[in-house]
Amino acid sequence: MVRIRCYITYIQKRPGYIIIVFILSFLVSCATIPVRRETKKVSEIATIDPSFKYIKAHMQDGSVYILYDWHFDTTAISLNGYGSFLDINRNIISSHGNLKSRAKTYVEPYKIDISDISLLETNDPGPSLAGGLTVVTGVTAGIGVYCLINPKACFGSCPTFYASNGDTLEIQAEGFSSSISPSLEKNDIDMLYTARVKNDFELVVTNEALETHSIRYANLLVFEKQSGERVFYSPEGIFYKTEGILPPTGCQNNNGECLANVVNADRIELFSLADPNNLDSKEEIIVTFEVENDENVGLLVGKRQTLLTTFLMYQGLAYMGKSTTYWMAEFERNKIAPKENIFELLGGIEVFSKDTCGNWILEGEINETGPIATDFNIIPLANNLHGKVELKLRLNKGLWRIDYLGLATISEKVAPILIQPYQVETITGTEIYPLNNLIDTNKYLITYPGDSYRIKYRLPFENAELFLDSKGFYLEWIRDEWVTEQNFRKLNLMFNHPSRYLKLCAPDFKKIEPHMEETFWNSRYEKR
Amino acid sequence: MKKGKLIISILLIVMLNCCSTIKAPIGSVPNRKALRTDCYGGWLDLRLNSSNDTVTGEFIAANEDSIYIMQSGKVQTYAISNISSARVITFNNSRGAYVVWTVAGSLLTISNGGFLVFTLPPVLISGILTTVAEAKRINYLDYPSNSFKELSKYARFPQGMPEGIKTSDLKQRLKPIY
Repeated sequence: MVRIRCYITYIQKRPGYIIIVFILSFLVSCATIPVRRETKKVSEIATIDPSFKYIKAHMQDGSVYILYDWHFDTTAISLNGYGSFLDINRNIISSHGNLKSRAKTYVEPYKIDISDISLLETNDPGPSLAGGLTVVTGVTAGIGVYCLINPKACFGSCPTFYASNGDTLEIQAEGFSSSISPSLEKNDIDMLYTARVKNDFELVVTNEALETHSIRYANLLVFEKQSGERVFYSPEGIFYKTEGILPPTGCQNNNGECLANVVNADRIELFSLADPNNLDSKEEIIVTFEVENDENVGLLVGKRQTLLTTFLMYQGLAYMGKSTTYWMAEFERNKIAPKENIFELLGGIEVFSKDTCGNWILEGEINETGPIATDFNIIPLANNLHGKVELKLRLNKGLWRIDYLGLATISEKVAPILIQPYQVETITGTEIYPLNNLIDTNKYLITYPGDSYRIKYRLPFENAELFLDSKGFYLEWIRDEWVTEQNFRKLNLMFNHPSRYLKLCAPDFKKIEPHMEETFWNSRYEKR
Repeated sequence: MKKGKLIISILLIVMLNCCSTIKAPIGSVPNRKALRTDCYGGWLDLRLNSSNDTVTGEFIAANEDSIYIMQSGKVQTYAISNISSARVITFNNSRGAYVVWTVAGSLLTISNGGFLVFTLPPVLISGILTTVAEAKRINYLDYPSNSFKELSKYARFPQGMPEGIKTSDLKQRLKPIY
């Protein structure tokens, strides 16, 4: 009360302040900023300003298209564009593109016959007021804040494969992520977990980084399945058909309860931050299942890596600096070989179950490089389990993002049918015979930043599980920023004493770790 | 200390000044930017001649002599001749977010130490100006100062009620698609 009285006294003694504040607020209170919506008849389509980012086409039956990158085709007398088609209750019937990102996607645009359109609508939401506030806040917050843009967080590593999930194109797989030079070429099998299966199946492969990709082949491994069945791939290279999947009933890690993160494959991932003192530092997750019957089961793990491995790879290239080609050539000729592989030191996800005495027994390990696509694997458990089943996952801190855990009932081992592509369309790229290069295993489909190709397959089944079997290698383009970090002493440390190096570089990684994921996804290379 | 009191006085006055903003129920209209991709109708507030009652709900469509409004999941029809006044609220502004932004930005300047003397005033002034301006965006259209034809641009079916649609098939707004 005393404080309020003091405050009033203070104001009373300084009427000038009050006048200024009132004038200020009066001035701003008079300002109004219009928001404009225009509707036009189809006959007026030519008068619509094409700079509007979105246009809505209200159809005669009440449905509506929302389009971006739209244009009026005077030849076909159609309105073309990417976006979504919604019914009278505004449920999405179909999407060709992404309204939020307005990405120039690899699907055909809508072509709407204008005779079906009842009304066209555009909206000018007016200027955003946040800009000035952002600048001012940014300037002040910028004092002492680290620059978020770090070249070692840029999008990279390997060909990215997209497929339709029935609604939109979705990243399904990344090919041969660890094959960063010709001698490391190898095949990679990835489950196309959410791909919608149809007889004429398409994959879109893109190169969205400053890299050259050499793809020897990209085949499909196909399994016929019945409703409720799924097929999963084990690290040992065996495919298992499963009949039912139990969700976990409990999940604990160092940070406490984690069930919500792993119970569904929804991209709400479980991950921890790296140890600030040593990037080679392990953690454990205990996951629990209630198994009613004594069954042959396997643990399903949906996961991808964090950007720790990307950071280390880019950092290694930065240490090579201007001599990268020399070092890579030496590596290709087996003149140099690391004493201990830094990535093997970080390791995969080890899965343990309990024996009858309660001791943890190693069941298997999942390890696949790549931060882009979530891949799903199965670790078959050696013994039939029932009742409350506890499993332990041991993994490096800050290295893995786990999206999904489940316990599947294994019915049998199965073998795939291999399907090669029958057609490859160039979306952007310079390859003249892309199909020929993918079919002939002596050749490569070579892609450069911004290239994309649509690969078509004919599937023998309408209900099938699909895996991508791709093989090749890729070469990183050395960025100017990296060359300035040339340091052979640290390169030696990284190659030959990785344990010491992972302690040494921990502070550098921790500085950029919080922002890496965002920077990574915002730096995809796209031809425009 | 004196400066702190001045800041409090500014914030109090600005907050009072912002209270006049017109808002529809949360979730019933999109935010300003989402207007471009939102395909539902605005929030309609009708005053009827006959009963002097007020009717509110999603603006579904307007024909020449009647309007359709979604009330509690059901579409009702009212003759325009029975409507004395109406207001359609087209979007909700982001005043709340700017208030939070301004307060957070102001607090952030504490980390600037002595530089706070220079950094706090611009944050505060720009935040206040932005917040008040945002609150004053025109986010509604009134009848009879505007015709229902003008208001119907903000209906779910701006072309009028499409032929062949049963009003019982229409459902309430879901959350905006983004």
